[in-house]
Amino acid sequence: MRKAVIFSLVVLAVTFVDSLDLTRDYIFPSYFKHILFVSLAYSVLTLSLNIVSGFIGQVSLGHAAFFGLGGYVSALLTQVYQAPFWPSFLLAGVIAALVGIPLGAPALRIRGPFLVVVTYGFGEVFRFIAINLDITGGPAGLPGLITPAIGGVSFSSIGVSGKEVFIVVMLVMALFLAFFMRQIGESRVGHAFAAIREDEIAAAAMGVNVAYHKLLAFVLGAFFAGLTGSLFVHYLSFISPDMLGSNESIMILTMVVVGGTLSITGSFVGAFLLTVLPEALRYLKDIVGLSYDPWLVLFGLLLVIMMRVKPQGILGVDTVFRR
Amino acid sequence: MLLVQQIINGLALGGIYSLIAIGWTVVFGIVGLINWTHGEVFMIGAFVGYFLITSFKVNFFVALFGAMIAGGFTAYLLNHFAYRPLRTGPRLALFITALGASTFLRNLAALLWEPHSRAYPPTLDFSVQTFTLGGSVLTVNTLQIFIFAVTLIIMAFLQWFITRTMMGKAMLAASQDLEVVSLMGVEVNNLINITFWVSGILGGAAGVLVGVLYAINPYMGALAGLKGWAVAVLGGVGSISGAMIAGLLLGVAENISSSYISSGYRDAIAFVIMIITLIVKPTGLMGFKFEEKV
Amino acid sequence: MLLKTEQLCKKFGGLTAVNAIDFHIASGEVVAVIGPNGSGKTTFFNVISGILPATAGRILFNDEDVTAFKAHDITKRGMARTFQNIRLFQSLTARDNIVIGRYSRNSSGLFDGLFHTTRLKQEERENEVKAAELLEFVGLTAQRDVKARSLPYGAQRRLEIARALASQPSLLLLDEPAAGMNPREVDALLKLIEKLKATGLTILLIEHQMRLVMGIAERLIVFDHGEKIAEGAPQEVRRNAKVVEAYIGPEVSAGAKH
Repeated sequence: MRKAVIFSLVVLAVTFVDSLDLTRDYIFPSYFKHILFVSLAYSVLTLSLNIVSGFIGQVSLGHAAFFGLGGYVSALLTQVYQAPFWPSFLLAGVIAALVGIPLGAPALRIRGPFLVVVTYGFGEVFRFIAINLDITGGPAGLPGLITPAIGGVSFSSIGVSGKEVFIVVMLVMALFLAFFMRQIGESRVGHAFAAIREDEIAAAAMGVNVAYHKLLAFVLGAFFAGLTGSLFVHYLSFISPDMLGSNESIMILTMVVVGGTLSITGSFVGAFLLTVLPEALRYLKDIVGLSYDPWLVLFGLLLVIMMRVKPQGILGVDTVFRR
Repeated sequence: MLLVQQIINGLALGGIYSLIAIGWTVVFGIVGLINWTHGEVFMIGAFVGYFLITSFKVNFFVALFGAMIAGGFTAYLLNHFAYRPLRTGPRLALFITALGASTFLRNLAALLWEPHSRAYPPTLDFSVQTFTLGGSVLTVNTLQIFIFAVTLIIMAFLQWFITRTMMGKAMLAASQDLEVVSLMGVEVNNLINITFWVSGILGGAAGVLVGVLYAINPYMGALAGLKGWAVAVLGGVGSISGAMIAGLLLGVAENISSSYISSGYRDAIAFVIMIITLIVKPTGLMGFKFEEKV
Repeated sequence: MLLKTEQLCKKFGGLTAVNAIDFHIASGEVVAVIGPNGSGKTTFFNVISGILPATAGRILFNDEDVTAFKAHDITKRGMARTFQNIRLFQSLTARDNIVIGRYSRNSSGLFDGLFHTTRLKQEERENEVKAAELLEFVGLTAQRDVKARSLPYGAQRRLEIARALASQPSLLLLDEPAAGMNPREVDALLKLIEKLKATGLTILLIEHQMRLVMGIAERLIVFDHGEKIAEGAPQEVRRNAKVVEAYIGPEVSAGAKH
């Protein structure tokens, strides 16, 4: 709780200090705020995947599909049907959640490495569909999406960079999800999740409805990923099929693992670390004058080293029920 | 008769797919690892072959041999430094390590060797031949026949290895039950090392063959690895014979579909097949089971 | 009859693991299933507890047809079990394992979880009390906060029993509870099972250790190659020629008759 408060205060400070007009130059230029927003978005994504791959232990490599799906739903509703943002935002989450059911269904019969394959495949199929349908704008995606408004006031009209409100909304989502997961984790549902994660068969023998809980995890994860997708694409004002891709899914899973599966704070750490680091390296590359972005090479190496040194992730721990 | 033509054309590529898939499947079957780095081993083989031919002016067969050694050695190193230490850790960690190693190798290659495509210089003298069969004209690229022959020879060697040598037989048995094999006194680490060598040798060979047939680039491992995966799944993960058959099937299927349906969907076929297999018959064509003992 | 099976069959492809078993156990009985390795005993357990679906036949628990039921539904109706290869939740503590065992006795759902309702809190208090009781019952109170994987083997077996008891079953299935135990531990286990029997619990166990079987079972059922080849009081079954043959083999037992 304390951590959440401190974190929120820091984020809000960074976000709004320039709006106070204290100095002539910006302390935190628009670019920084962009990174902050993206990090928060990935935090939500990482948390939502943590429900599926951490809490209940089903490795899913198709999570970006929900993110992208939410984005497309929201984009299409607002562009084609002139729907207002907030209902589209909610629908994005709901539809993604519904799609979570058929995507989670294989998890009922398929275990471990096979599930990785299927979820990966599903993610690619989604991307494939997005690239090849006219209504989704094909490979170029859909540009010119509306900017959300609250009470008639557009998000971009508040604050010096226009990003401030987006950051706050994403922060609220992240905190809500974190709270949600903490509450669930310490409840009977959380016990069921832990049991399934440890040993599905024993869990069933203890009376846990494994199928229900697996689907529940997928649906919850998908819902929040969908919401994030919607907010994200309206922030960018466009959507492209790459957002659905397996590279994205892999990155999110990596954030979960690096931060520590099961750790809520860890998901934030993983998301921020793996969003900020590449940007920092790209910055360095420009300064040093490299012709090629070394981020991915370093990233790969770092992952290997990190798994040798601390395979459970930075904040990874075993579960202990607090109640 | 167009169909027959498609089948013939698909065999060379299919044979290559088989090699990649076998390399993937033995690692999965014996170690239980989704070998994300297999594509990179394949790519390294392709590049080693390329440099051997362009810089050292060797002939095709020497390049092939060199690539196989390079591939096997890379796979061995990967196991030794990245995978083995994590064998007892959390499952996800092994997976992420493979991911990291793959990203590292792929992008390092792009850094060192520039991300564009290169073609192998022509080392073999082959031409396009035409035959008449049953009233229709078939065009066959003899290079493809040669490649297919090479893959068959390699697979024959593999077959000899797993049926006639101690280590090979142990490998075959281990892909069905590693625990039992270790109880029989086979040194497990050795066995796993050999498995990775075999996997790398096959991958490296496939890399050269693809280089000769098409072109190479540092990112070629991504798609190749994925297709190898798909083929292995179709054949039944862990099953060598399954991978062999499934590879040929995919090669032919891709060829047929790219002429009857649009060729843009060609790469998607592998995925579709993989998903259908996993949903309809997860144990694949050869029905390899991974039953959990209760 | 608490539990009854009628012509219960389980096939795996071409292999028949359990063949037309008629079985019954009455409330309060202690019955042991014995037989050579691979005779289908554990498969039989797996089918009646809902882990594996039956191929044919019926299972009646408390006169209700539960043949098609999944494991979690059967547990809710009062059947609990342990496993041949211990299946504890390894990263969780002893106490947490037992708390999960209480799952079927609680009813808090997603809503209760999100808002930490009174119902949730109350169930947690109850769980805490029950867990403490069960830990004491099996003698693991000191190991309350130890992770299951760090417990010594005998303790793990006892923990598994405690976890099964947490659901307050009317029928307890024990799959080789004494496996790997030394004679002293077996005696302790015997006493434990006697205590359980005294509470009125119906117990069905698979066991190889004759010391335990003879000490506690009122009735023996012998499996061989998936079939029931003998049934009756321990002393009779012991002398049954078919049973001896199943364990030792025909030639040797033929020689032993003389």
